[in-house]
Amino acid sequence: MTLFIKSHTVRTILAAFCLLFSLIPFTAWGQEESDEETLDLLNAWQQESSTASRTPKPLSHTPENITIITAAEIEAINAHSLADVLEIIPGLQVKQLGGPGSSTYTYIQSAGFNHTLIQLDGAPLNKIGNFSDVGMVPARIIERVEIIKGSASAAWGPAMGGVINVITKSPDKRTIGGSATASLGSHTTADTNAELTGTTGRLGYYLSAGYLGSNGLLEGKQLHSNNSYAKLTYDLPTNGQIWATVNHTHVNQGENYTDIVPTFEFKEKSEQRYLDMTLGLRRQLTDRLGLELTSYYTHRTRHAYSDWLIPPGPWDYNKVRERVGGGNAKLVWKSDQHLLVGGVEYIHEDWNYTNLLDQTTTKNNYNRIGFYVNDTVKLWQLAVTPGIRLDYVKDEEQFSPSIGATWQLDEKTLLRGYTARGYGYSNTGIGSPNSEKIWTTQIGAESTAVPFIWQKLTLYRNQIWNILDTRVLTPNLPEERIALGVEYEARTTPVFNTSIGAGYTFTDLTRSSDGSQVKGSVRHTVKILARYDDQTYRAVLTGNHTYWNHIKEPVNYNGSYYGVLWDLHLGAKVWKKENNSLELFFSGRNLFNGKQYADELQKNTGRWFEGGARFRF
Amino acid sequence: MRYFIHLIAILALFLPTLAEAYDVLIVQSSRSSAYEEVLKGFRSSRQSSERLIVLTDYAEADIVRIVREDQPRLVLALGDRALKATKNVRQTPIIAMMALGIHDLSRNRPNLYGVGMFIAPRPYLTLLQNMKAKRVGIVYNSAKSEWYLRQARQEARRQNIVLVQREVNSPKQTIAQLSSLAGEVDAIWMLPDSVAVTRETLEAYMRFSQEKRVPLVSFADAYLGLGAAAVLELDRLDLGRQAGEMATALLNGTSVSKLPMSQPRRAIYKTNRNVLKNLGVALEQIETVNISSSE
Repeated sequence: MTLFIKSHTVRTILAAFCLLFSLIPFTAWGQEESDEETLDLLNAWQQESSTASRTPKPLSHTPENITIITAAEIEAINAHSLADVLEIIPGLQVKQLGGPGSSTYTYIQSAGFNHTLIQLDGAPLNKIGNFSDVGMVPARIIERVEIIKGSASAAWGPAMGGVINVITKSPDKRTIGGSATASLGSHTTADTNAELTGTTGRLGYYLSAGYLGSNGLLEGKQLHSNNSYAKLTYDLPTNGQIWATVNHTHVNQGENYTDIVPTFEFKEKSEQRYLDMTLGLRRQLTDRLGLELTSYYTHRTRHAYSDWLIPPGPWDYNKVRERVGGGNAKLVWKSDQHLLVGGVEYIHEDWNYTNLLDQTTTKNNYNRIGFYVNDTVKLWQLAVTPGIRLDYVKDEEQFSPSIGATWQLDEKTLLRGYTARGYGYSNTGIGSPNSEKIWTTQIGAESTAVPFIWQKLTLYRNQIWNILDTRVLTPNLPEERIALGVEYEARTTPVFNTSIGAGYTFTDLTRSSDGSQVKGSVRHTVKILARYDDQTYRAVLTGNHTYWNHIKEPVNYNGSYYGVLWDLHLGAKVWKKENNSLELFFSGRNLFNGKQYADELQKNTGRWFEGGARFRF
Repeated sequence: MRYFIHLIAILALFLPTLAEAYDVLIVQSSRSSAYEEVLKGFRSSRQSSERLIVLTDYAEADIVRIVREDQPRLVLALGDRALKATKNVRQTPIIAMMALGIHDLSRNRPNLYGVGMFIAPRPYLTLLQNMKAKRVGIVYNSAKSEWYLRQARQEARRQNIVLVQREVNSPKQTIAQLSSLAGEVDAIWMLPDSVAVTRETLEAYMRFSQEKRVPLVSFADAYLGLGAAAVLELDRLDLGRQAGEMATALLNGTSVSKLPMSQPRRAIYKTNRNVLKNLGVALEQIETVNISSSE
């Protein structure tokens, strides 16, 4: 395994933030404990939680590698969509095919984009090709995102790469509140939206609508999308809640791939409509036993028209319609020592592909039913999480066991370990002949032992087999690969309202057959974030470098590999009164015009700017 | 280059230009959502110019020097550390909140005023009476809570409730003292006492409530999920508003000495219906508690 390659931007960046972190301890100071005691007393020592095992539990009992990002952090980076949010997460690689709202591929620790399960309000967003377009999820509706890095099949089914769980905003406790936001940027890139939220009696509501569009930050990448979202909650008189959500998105994208490669000139226009609905019930049956039922239905259509430019003529006109329905029922039993979760999940997906040129139609469908159970057993400072899941998919039976443990070494250091078997389909709609399989093992530690620095280190080994690499022209036989990786994250507590953070992920992906490196998969990822916030003025600087490992054979995709994308986000509250405020904000994206892409057909956007205002009431 | 000139111009617009005089110096112990909520309430009740110092952001924040140089009309201290940091501020009035030690410190500091973290005993005892509790167990540390117990005993006598008290000098004694309450009490009243309630002793309270089938009444929402039957917790927004009103009174010329140390005036009342049901406590009785409440 070669850790360092030829002269590389990563080295410079790593050296810079290693130096930075090595200096910080000398500026640190002791901390009074009494405030922590008071706040702990009020919070009953309850810590930040994750839902990695499908029900909330403290992060200190979660063996998986989890990252959580909240609405406040999302707002600080003036994000337009979930894609912008995921860009700043260590260990994630995001490939945006244009500006805000455009189609986006998401990779977790170098696993394929079609092995990341994206959940919105408990319903999967993955569509044909197992592709989840995180560019279609508006950032404004997000309350919190939980990212499980690494295979999570024992709880979630087909999630070889990991899970991105998007929790949308809950109704405000006031009777009425909301916001109105408008921004305008280069190439008429605009994002205007409004939110209305409140609670009256037992009924809570969150309503939001917005327009996101651009005349194209890249040549021929226009986008115009409208989104509306509604969430209603009703608190039952007997310790429970019913909720319902509706999410509708209409996108017109167009004129892609024009004038990029002279030998590959065509234009494409597409129109997409997404309708996602969920209905759920949560009820505490006894003081120890809780029940949660979730159902969902999604209807998606996509019309695409592709024309050759030389010689002019239609290439591919098609219409795709997908319908996905499903549900999940789970029971959660809590005792002093156990957190036991058991449930069943069912999903049905059918789709029609119609060639509009010859009016031929192809149909397919997909059913999956899964049964899962996991427990978190607390034994003094140790928490052990065993779990199993059994899925029936088409003619295949998938068995996904896992076991993990956390050990609270002392008040400042937590050790984690996790091993699991998982599976995934690179394409559910078309139906690949075999599922891909993974065995993942992760160990890590999380510590605040160095004053004022939170650090996290994770080492991982993924053995993946039954892979069909569509990039390899011949022969196309299943192969096995081994990924060895390390991920390091660190961030400081604020000093003079300022904090910094960074993450580095390295993955060495090789073929078991001959030990050769797999080109085109991510090898190095560096994320840097510096933040200033004094409640009136805020600024965030982010740096993002993803090294896609050169692809030259069998096809040279003419990538550009060494760029770093620097974004700067500023905000100022120019007026505040009680619950009302007016904020001006500004973003400069890709400030130094960095080029970072693996394929010249999928270039990143250059430098662009935007500014706007947000009014809250 | 054109872009960078624009960028610099915009940056310049965003940066504060000159330090301005202000009315209120806010000293906050750390960045915590609990403090932010109180501050939100404070800001909603009065509009004043302010400067915010978050102590964990600084290696050594000399609050006395800042007060001397900036001459704010009032200091707002949020948290125990903030309260300690303002110890040597002698002339400027200080309003303190979210500090457990505020009651003890206020005796020796004539310019210190504020709102404590203990909700008055009356609504707790009314709640316990509605649970039909006649003998209520309390575990406490006298150095932390004796002042509150005095008020509680007085109110308990008025409401014909017997407080079965157990004093502890360290958290280790709590488990034994709780055990000694078995068969002696119909309910447990948990106080925000940092000696009697700790991470290590928390489970003993919950186990006692479950095994002895006596409801536990606590002071924060977080305990409901752990097995408390009911809580009366601080309304942090209103705590801030209350401090804002005090600030207005002080800035309008009312002398600090004329304002007594306050207790929170509003509590949020919440119950764990399943625990109540298991213990056979009727809900309608609970809902008659005469306090400003929301659920």
